[in-house]
Amino acid sequence: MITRRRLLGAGLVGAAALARPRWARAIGPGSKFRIGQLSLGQPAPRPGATRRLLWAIDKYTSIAVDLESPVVTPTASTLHETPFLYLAGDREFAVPGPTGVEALRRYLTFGGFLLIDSAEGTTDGAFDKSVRALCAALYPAPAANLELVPNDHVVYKSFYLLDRPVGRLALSPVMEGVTRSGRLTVAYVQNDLGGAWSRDNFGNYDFPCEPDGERQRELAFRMGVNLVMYALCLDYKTDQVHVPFIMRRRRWRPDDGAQTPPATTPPSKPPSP
Amino acid sequence: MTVALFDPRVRWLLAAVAVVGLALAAIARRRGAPRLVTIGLCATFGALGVLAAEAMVALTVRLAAPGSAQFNEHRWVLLAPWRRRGLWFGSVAVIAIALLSWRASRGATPLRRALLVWLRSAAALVALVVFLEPAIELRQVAREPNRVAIVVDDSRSMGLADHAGGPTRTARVRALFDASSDALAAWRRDHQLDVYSFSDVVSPASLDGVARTPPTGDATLIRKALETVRARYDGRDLAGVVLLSDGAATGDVDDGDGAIRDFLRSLDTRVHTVWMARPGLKDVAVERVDADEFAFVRTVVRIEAVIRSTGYPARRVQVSLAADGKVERQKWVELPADGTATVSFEVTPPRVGRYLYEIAVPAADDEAVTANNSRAFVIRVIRDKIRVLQVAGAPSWDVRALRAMLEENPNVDLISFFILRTQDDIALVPNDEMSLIPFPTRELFEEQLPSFDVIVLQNFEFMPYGIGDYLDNIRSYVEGGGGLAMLGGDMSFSSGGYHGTPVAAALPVELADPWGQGDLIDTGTFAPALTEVGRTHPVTALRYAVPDNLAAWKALPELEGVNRVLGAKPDATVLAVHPRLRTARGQPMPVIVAGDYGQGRTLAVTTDSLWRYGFVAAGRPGDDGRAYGKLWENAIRWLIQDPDLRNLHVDSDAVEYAPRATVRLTARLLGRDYQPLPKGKVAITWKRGADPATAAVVGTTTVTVGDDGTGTFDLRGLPPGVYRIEAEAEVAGRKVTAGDIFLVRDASLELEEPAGAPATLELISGATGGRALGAIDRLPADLAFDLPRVVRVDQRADVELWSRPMLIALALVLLGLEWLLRQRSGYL
Repeated sequence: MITRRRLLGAGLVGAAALARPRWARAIGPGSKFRIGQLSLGQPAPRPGATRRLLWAIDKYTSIAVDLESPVVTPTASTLHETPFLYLAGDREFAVPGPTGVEALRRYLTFGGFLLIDSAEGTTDGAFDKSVRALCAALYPAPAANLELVPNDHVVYKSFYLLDRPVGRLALSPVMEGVTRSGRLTVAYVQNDLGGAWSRDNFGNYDFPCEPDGERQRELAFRMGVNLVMYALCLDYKTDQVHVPFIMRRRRWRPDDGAQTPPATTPPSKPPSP
Repeated sequence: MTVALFDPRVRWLLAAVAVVGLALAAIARRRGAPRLVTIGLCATFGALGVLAAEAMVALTVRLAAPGSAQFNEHRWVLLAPWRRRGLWFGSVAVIAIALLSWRASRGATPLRRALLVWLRSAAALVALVVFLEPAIELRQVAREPNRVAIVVDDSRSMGLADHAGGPTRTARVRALFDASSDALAAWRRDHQLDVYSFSDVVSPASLDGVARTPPTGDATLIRKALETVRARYDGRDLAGVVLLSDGAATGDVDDGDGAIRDFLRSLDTRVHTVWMARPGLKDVAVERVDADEFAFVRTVVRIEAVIRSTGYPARRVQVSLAADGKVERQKWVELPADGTATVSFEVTPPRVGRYLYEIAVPAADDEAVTANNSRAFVIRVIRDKIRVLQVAGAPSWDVRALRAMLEENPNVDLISFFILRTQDDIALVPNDEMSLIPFPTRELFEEQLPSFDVIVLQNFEFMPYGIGDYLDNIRSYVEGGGGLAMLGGDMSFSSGGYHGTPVAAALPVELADPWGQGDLIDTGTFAPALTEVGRTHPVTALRYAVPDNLAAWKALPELEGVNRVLGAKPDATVLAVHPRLRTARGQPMPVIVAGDYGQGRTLAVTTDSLWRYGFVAAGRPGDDGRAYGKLWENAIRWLIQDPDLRNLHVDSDAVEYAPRATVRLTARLLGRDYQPLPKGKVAITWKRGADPATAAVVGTTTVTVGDDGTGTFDLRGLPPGVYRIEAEAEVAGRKVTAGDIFLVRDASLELEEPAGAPATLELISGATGGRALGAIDRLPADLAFDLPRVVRVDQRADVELWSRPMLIALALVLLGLEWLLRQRSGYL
């Protein structure tokens, strides 16, 4: 129920929010979300794509981002500074050596996330083969490898409600991924997400989206936001479904119809700051 | 010796039958009903014949018995070999002969017909006697008086007066004995009277001494008393038991109707009962409390109590529930007249441990007993899962790392709320294409807040979400025992607008005014330095040994950025500081600070880069990134005041004790490394009182623990009440404390149901074949007891009735008379 006191309080809070000083937007570089561009020797087909995605994330979500996406290699000492890696390509690449594979595996095991984006315009090209070889090296049989990510997975509802991963293209209606301990560690999209995100310095998109044009581009951005949101929040959205039940189960407030007698001593008040 | 077949009442009855029969015959004759005349005359002749037969038997025995012996007992025996079958057969034959005679004499005058039937029946009976060969065995026996146990209730309920100003129940016992001297004398003729008093134990007493002093027994264990008394007469001759009680038993006769009846039958003696109470006692009592012995912390626990009213009209009473001596809940209850009402309370224990609760009703006018107006009990509160509320102002790696760590912990029940979009973000997409839900501020911060063990505010700015009104709820939550952790970020501490808010009052750091001078944030990288306390504090102890712990912290990756604060509060504990930054007072800028607020705890971590201790550390050779998990595990346990993190423990070996029972206290002392601390000294104080503020010190002692870090101490002879144990010791120069609570039950259940219960006594006498004498003022002299057993037979003689010549002659005379009469009547 809205009381006069509460209404006035809300007004004051709102006024305070508008008039608050401009505090720093981030506590430090490490607190911002960054995307590391994983380099395995292949040229980056959409070099400005992640910057555009991060810009969208900054505008549409509460996530504080660093627009710069450093290039990292599996063996770089800075690999763990960017828990989100983006691997894009349009051609074959070489699977890293044992040291690189082990470093990547360790990265993914301890919480890292790898988004692989195929820009080669086909679902069975050389890049695809390299991706599958990389995943096979990261997770040798009999461990589960790339699998279809069901369309009710939380990654499709971590921020926007989506049902398929479209990019510049819409070749594959599904996303593939590697799941470890209930967590999606690798996500593989074959629809050239970066191609949809990529934009020149004048604000023009680099590539048209086919077949659905700008609506498809919008969905590609939403997919990118969802992937980042998933990497940062994990199954938070799934958890929300259970919250009302958990709340009810944990009943703490007495409901016995009894009254609490008035305190005989004045309640303690916070000391003046 | 005179042998009597009938007692005088039967003889009078037979005489009455004879007179009535004669009268019936006279009336019937006058009215012209010959059949009725015959029946009346038959009844008269039959009754007279029976009386004559008894006189003949007595005469026969007197004449036939040896004159020298003093026989004092006789019994009938049948000498013929036919036994019981012969008796039945002969009886049927006699009845058949009588009926045939009745039929054969039709047409005769009523007098003649009656005589014919009577003579034929009498002759047949005489023949039956000859057939059965009865005899009387005369004996001269000696008997020793057997015992009558008089068992008198001496419990405290017997000291009650059922009416204001009236006599007590014990006084009634005394008056009953004084008024029953004749009855007691009559009982003494055949029995020896043994007197016992009982309550929770049975004690020998005497008629003169019993019920002279006020009763003091703490229980009314009737079953135990009867069992004990009966056991005293095993193998001895017990004539019976007389039980004098108010019937207000304390538990041992309500084991179920079948069980108590089986027990009473097993006594194998009759128990006569006298109810010494009277209706009219007035009392209101908390009859019963139903509550689980265990409850979960921060979860509603239901307590039900049954309030009983006796002797009052229906009315409303206010029932209260107190915790630790302070009333927490009150409820009005409609109490029926002489009935019970059930009242239920719900409470939410805020912490793990033992809690004392007490349900009470106010004393009423003229109430006989006020000691039963309250009932105390202890509930052990345990933890099922640690309930953590994580509220984050924005998704980040720090948020994600904490969520992942808490989710992996099976002992944690986690609820997360992340702000995914702020009012500053562009919203171009319709809401139905997004998965966002409204932030349930009221539900979280007003309704559900106390259900959490720990609240983590992680870079969370409250102002945009209208949570300002709820900040005092958070403060109250901490004050009441909750745990609060605030983590750094650009929307936290002063940057989050918490300066001057109730939350700031609970935090262990002083917040800077955001409108003031100086930066609120430093974005540089740094490696926090542990303070002296931080080296061993439960939160920052990544390793047990201090050198190992220091090495572990030194190996951690650097952090990035801190929220500047004015400093730690005076009573807070700084665990880690910034290596370069200084506060305005010149102190190192605190990074990790722990503090107590009210009964709760708070933790301030002024950076949002702790995640680097996990993921970034795991990228280093030889590091498994577990420091992050360990640090948070420590922090959560410390925030919830996990008992295992205490260095000193003191526990009693039970929650409730009987009066005068031995209470064993065990103290366990652990060092800074949580290993047993040998030879440590623990000062123990025990206080009496429900309210910790007013509990009075009863005693103190010092216990020196052994090599295993434990030591025990026994408390003996404690009177009823609530006891609080306070233990204190010193570990590495720091004072550590522990506490416990236990209850010594108030002098039993004796006065909890003080009203007399005659039904209990009726049950006892009914099941044992005794008499429930009820509320009497004088004992009856003719109360039935078992006769003393025969202990010696001095002489014996058999008097055969069947072989008497007189009997043969009688049969012949009867038959001759019958024959003659028949002849005269023309039947021959």
